[in-house]
Amino acid sequence: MQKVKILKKHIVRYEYLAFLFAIFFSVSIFALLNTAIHKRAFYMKNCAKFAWTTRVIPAARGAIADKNGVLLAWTERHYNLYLQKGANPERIIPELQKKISPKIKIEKDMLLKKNLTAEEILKIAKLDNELNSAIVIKTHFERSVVEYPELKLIVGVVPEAKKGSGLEAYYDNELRGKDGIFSVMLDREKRPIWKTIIWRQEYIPGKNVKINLGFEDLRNGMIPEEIKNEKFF
Amino acid sequence: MKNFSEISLLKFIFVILGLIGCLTIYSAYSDAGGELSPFATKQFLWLIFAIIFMQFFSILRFSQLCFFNPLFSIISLVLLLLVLLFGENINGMRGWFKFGEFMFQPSEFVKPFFILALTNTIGRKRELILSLCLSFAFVSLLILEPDYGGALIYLFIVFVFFYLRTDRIYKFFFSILGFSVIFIFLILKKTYIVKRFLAFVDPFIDPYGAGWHSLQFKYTIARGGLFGSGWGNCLWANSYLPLPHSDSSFATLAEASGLLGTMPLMFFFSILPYIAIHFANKQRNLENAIFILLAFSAISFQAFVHIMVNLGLFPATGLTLPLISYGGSSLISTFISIGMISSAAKD
Repeated sequence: MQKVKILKKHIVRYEYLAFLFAIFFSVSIFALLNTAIHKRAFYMKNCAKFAWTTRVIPAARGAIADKNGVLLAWTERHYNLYLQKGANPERIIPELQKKISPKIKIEKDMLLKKNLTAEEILKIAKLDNELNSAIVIKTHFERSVVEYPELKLIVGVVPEAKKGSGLEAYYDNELRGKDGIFSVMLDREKRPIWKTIIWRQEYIPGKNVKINLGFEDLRNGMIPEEIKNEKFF
Repeated sequence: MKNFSEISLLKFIFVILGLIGCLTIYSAYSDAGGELSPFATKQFLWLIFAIIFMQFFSILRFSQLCFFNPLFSIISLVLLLLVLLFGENINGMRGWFKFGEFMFQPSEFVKPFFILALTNTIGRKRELILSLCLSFAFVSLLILEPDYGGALIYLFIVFVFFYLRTDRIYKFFFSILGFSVIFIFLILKKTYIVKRFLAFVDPFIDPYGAGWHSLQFKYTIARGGLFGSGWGNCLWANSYLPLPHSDSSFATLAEASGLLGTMPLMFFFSILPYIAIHFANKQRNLENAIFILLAFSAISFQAFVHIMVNLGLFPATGLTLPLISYGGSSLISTFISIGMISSAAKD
């Protein structure tokens, strides 16, 4: 009888504890409701700011060729190496000079090296996480034109802010293409999680253009129909 | 017979929760090329072992368990001592034995045996001194690892035991007050704990530093919303949560199954103390009843701390969620507790 009485006393005491547990769990359920429903939009907005990024794939400009397919103007893709914001150049650059190329040095706009070679890009891919996260490779397009002054005049200048000339200006709509724009979620090492990709604008590369005259015709002073009326001719 | 079927139902619920744990762990690493996470496969194997252990301990009589208690206690203390000397140091804590691919964490595994040892001091000549010595031995070995999260659970078990056993409740609360002062002083000496606490108060003060974990928990739970993003589709848990399969498994579960998926789990853990009362009420033996109350309290308290941490209501402790988080030692220990509870309830 005495034992049963003691047992009951213990259970009554335990009931207070169980009640406290129930209160704390109710608070937890309230907090869960608050985070998952009431403040969901706020946290989603914050985490989107934190983890989502929008990136652009620049469209490569198409080439201009004569009637036989000889290139008059074309675009070359280069890879330049930049230092990330907040990285310590005094510590990073000597390491990169040792591991990638002695030519690496800091220039304007955090540029470390222009026109990386394929070998250098492979070496960068093998760098440890800490060094890798301090640098970034950016694609850079460079427009090249045949080395004849008379042809350069015909090919003209790529229009930027509506000031272009020659074939580049006339065929700009075809040559230009459309930059691809996409949003992607980054993981904690700032690497894209590709299955989260959302395309904002489709990537359309520039088309190649073929004119009706041959390379030698152009050198001999013939001017394509389409740009005959331009002022400088 | 009725008691037996109730225990069987409880065991069944625990197995189901163990399976949900495997799914949560699978979701925590589902981004790894679409393959089944090795953690999920291992956890499933541990679950099978855990069920075998549970059945083994439940067929034993509680009096038999009490008979072997001195042996269990000695083995437990030796394991805790050996891990300090020869254990693997992971994240600054010497708490694991490593056997090739497998890890074994004695502090998790010996928990039910510690509860059994405590309940076995009841009615002995020097119950107070015996139980205090026992508690001191276990908790101090854990603090030496240092496994503060584990020590917190053991201290809670000790707290419940003395709370139930004391004659004068006011004396007990005065002792708790005294211990709290020492405890707070020790915490203030550890700057990283203070940092965690400040980050917990306002994580936006230092979102990329001390507040990082707290904010990631909130973002993960918010992403889950009401219905969740689906099993194996936990992008945030995959990418940003620290240890999504263990310390952050509640948030991972919330992202996968949403509010509706986590509510039953929270409800289950919140009623565990009432289930304990239900079983304890039927006992005629004090030791059996106290064992049942302590064992259920330990599971519920650990779950409660883990959930509170994941909801940003408590500073980070590194505690796992019983039955759901990854870890063979923890899973087997929880199922051994259920086996022992079953044995105590039948006796």
